Amino acid sequence: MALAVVIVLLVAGSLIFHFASPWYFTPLASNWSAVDFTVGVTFWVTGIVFVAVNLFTAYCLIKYRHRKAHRAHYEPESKKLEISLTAITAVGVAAMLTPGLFVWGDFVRVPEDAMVVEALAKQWHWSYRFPGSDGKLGRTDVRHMTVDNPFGLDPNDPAGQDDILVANPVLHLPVDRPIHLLLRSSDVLHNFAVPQFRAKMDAVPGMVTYQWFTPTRVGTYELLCEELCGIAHFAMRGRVVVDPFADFESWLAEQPTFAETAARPMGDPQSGAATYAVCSACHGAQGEGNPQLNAPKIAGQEAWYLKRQIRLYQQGIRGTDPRDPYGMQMAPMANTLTTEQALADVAAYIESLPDRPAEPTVSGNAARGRTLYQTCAGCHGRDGRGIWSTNAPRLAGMSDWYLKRQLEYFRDGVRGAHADDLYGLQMAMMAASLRDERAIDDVIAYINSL
Amino acid sequence: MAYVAIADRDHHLHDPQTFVTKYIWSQDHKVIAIQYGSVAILVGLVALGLSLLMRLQIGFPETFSFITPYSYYQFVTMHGMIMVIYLLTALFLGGFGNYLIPLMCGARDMVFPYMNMLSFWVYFLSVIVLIASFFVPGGPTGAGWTLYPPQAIAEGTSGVDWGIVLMLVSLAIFIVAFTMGGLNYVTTVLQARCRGMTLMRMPLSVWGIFIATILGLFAFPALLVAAIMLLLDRAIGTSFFMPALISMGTQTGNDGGSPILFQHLFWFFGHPEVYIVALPAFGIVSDLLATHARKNIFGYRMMVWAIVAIGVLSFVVWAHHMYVSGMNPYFGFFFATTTLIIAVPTAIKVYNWILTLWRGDIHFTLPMLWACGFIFTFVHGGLTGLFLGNVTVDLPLSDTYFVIGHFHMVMGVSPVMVLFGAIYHWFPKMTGKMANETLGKIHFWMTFLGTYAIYLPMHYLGILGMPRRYYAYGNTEVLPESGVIVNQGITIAAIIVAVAQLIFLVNVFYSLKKGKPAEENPWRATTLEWQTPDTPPKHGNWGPKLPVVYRWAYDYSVPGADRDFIPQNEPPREAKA
Amino acid sequence: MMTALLIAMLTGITIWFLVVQRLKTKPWAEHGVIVGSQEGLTSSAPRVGLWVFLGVVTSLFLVFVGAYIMRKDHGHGGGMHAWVPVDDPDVLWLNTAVLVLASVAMQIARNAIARGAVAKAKPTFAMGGLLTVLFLAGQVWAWRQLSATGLYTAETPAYAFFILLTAVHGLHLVGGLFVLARTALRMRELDPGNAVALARADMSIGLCTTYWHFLLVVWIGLFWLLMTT
Repeated sequence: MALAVVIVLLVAGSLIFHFASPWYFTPLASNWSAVDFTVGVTFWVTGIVFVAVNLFTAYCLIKYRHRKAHRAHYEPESKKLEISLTAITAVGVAAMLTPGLFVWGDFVRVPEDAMVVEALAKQWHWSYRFPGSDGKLGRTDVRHMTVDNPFGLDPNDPAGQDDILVANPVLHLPVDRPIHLLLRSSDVLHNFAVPQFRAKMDAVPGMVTYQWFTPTRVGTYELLCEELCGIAHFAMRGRVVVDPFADFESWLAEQPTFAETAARPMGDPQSGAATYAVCSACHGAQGEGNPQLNAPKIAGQEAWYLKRQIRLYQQGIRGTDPRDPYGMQMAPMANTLTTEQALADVAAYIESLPDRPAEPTVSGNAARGRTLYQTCAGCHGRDGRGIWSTNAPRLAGMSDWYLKRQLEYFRDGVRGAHADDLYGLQMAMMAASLRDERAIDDVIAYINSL
Repeated sequence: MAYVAIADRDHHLHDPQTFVTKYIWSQDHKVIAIQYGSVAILVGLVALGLSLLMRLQIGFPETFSFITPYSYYQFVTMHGMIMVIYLLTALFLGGFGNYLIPLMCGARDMVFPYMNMLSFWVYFLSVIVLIASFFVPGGPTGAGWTLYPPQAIAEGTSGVDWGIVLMLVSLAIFIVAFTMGGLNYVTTVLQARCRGMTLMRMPLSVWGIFIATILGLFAFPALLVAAIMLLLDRAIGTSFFMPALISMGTQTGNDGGSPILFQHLFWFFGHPEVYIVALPAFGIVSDLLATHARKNIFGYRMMVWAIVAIGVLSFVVWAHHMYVSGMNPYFGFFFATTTLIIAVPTAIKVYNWILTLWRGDIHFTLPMLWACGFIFTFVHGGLTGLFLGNVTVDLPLSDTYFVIGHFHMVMGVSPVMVLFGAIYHWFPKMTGKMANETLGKIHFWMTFLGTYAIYLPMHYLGILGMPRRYYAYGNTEVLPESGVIVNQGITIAAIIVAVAQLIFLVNVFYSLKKGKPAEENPWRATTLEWQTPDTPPKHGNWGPKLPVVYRWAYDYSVPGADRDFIPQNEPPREAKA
Repeated sequence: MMTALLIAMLTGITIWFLVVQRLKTKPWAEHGVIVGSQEGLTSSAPRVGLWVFLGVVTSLFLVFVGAYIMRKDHGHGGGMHAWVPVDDPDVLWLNTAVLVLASVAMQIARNAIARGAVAKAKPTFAMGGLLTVLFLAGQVWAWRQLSATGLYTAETPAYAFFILLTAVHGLHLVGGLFVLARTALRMRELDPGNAVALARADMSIGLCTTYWHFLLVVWIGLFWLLMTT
């Protein structure tokens, strides 16, 4: 009895939940309204079955509950009943399947005039490639991938020279243009999913997969990785910005081609030495850092990371939060490096400086830190020496007091909170797993022991 | 007659002498069943604990310092793997399969009792290896229970040193154990049925377990192959699944392997695996409903055909787990069609369960509560399966919490409902004591309502776009403030459900000690296991004489009969006369 | 992919065959012991057990073959590096002949024991075992030949598959050899007059022979696959 009542209540509750709860699809932003339609059809068909079956169960439970001198009806089977139920079920299934197959047919066939864009997934970030003026993407191979050629383009393929490279997780797309999105991965499985587009597909290493959609609404959308890809899977976020066509074109024009990135000036340590004089005032003549001036050790840090941070300072992404006074000191200094060449030179000079481990100043429980560091090792490497492909700088042997401060900044939203600092955002999500001061000290104590 | 001789083989049945041969190296299928069951439930409790840790992190992020991303993915992986393989598969087939097949078929024991004993101990070894991975450097693997390469064996995943190796080795050992057990179950059903027990007179429990075992025997080799090849990729650098890739900034030296191949192998096992768990549940729940509604299972023949049809179809639907995996998208048409076709026999089973209640004489006993709970949860989980099985509908929903909600309803809660129903149903036979009714009811209501409170909202979070396998969500559109609150609610519900399982354990121990002594046949059931001379049955089950079966398993409320049930071994009247 | 489908179909058919018999009866309409309904039960349990096991092993090898073919086609299709076939050593032909002889010897032993000719069964049965050992040695020899060429590394997929498939097949034979050795040891003291012992030996030898024939078929299939790709 109670069971029947509860079942009726659960059915009613489920219906109320369905219609009244605020949680349903995010507003559609692509051409795939047909996908939403199939979901709707499925909801109706299954919803009717759900209500009918459960209410009938509840009815049976009440009507045929045990009473004295009541005996069950004897009926081994009823062919007619079973066949008609089977037929009704088959009709319902067909009603759901048929539209599904038609829409899938559309999803599988990419329109001829679709614009080709490639998304390259790596642990744990996205980057993108456009075909350039020849309309053709150049050949790629994982074997060509290095810190200077992160897309793995074949340097000898003429088709690749004009490919436009977007080496950060923000992708701009024009509105109302079909997009043929090719997906590539250089390490593990990933998945390109924008909930508002209703489409998704895995990126598989060693293969090129695809999906297509037409963005229909101007706006900014969150790009999520939806295939488990390792420890930082949840922090693998990107952004898709849908622009009016003119805005998109001007954005695209600002992005470098492969030929341009390949021709980027090599840093010259000699000329960098002169520029470095400004830096040495705080960071020391050998880049060894100066705790009194709150200047961390920079010798031994990799050039790509130094350059990225200087650019963040220059663009006002770092060093603008009043809670970070030292960063605010650094920002005007970074602005003295006015040219790409100067930046490359000084980074090259810093790379050439002798690398001596910084004095440890933080003490903690290294054994406990070792467990916590397992997460960090995913990006920064087990030896803490930093890994270019995960955008993770070197930690071991660097100024530990600086690490501690930065971890606190990340945790407190001082660093990594700016909308355009997507790599910083990743670190912020990671730093949040260090819940308290002791955890931070412990993990730094372990890094010091590396 | 030859078949009696086989069913009645008793050369090993001289009474066991010592504690060790009686309870440890026992060859009695009932003891082995209880051994299987106890180990499965113990290791299941570990997995339950892991799920609570996960829920604590999702519900209350940034609160518990011991849950790091590294350990979170380990919890996810081990929870899934333990629940699916080491709990559900082992408990349904190793536990109930072992207990019920010989009793329900009227045999003295399995046909290969020694191998049956080995099966348990090899299973035990696989559990030890699995648990050992918690104590090795780096801990257990965090690759997700699907263990997809390259990520499962590439740097940047938890437990890539030892955890994954132990996981794969443990799986291989488990498969050996399962094969030994499975050969026994199939051969026993085929060879050791007592006189008069035709295939079509077998209770549906035996049918479900029988077909599930056949599925397992054919499907587990695919997992074994996948595990061996992945182990080789990990250990000696072969490239079965590993393409050329850059791991942690350096080339690995692999070339040309196919990650998709692993997924095909895994799901060629993995989908039948769903039915390896579901079919025994289907079978057992049919018997519970028939017994406690005092009515024959409606459409027995259709039920048997449906079990067989589902078994066959389950081998041609596996790639519906891979619609967005990057496999040739044209496969989507085929697999969506086969997947939705499998809904038809499944639906027939549901109808027939309800039609069994219809015009029945329903006793709301503990097993009946769980069986009805199963109908509700299974209908819910089955219907949401129609979303994910249909390729287009799957597109926005795959890899979201909708999937989590769906498979926990259909493959977690539903089989567990049957498990508990079955435990309460056969508890008197296994122990000679009745289980405590009040505690059992509290257990049922907390579990039934609690799990629905967990999983119903998850579907909607999934529709919203909340991805699965995220350690933390941060600021995101797919999880608004209201969603964060729902997640807290889900976590609290999960804790309640976990507490309910402790009540179950208390009930088991309490009833063992102080429970009412059970009658021989407290539910007045027709099937053979209730007709044994002793309760609990002794080694050899039937005393000096094997039963002979004269009728099918569902002679309830037969018009004209003086009682509302006629045991299978009761001779027909005209024969008496 | 198509192979995987084929496997699926085969398994499906097997299951279907298993249960297609008498599934249309109306069990509630029949009372009493049904005469002739259980004739299948007269055959022995070990034999049925072996056949079920052979089904499992078939599934195992079919899955391996499916994986092999999919991996091979993946190498060609995806624009990746081409599949480099292994230059199969000639000794494999010899090994195949040896395994055929082993099977023949086993069959002779089986026929002999069925007639009660224990004296003839003993040496031929042992010969079957020895020939199998020879086959295994030949397989190891083939591995050594391949690794001596220095052309192949673990990363060469055809080579890795070659080793894997031959090793898995070999392991099944090794398992069989254990049973064979046990049977042979028991047979040493076999008294032809003891009917029970004779029946047991007949059963054991029969099972071994079935298993050997089965593994021969598996090997010929694998050999053909390895030679042609």
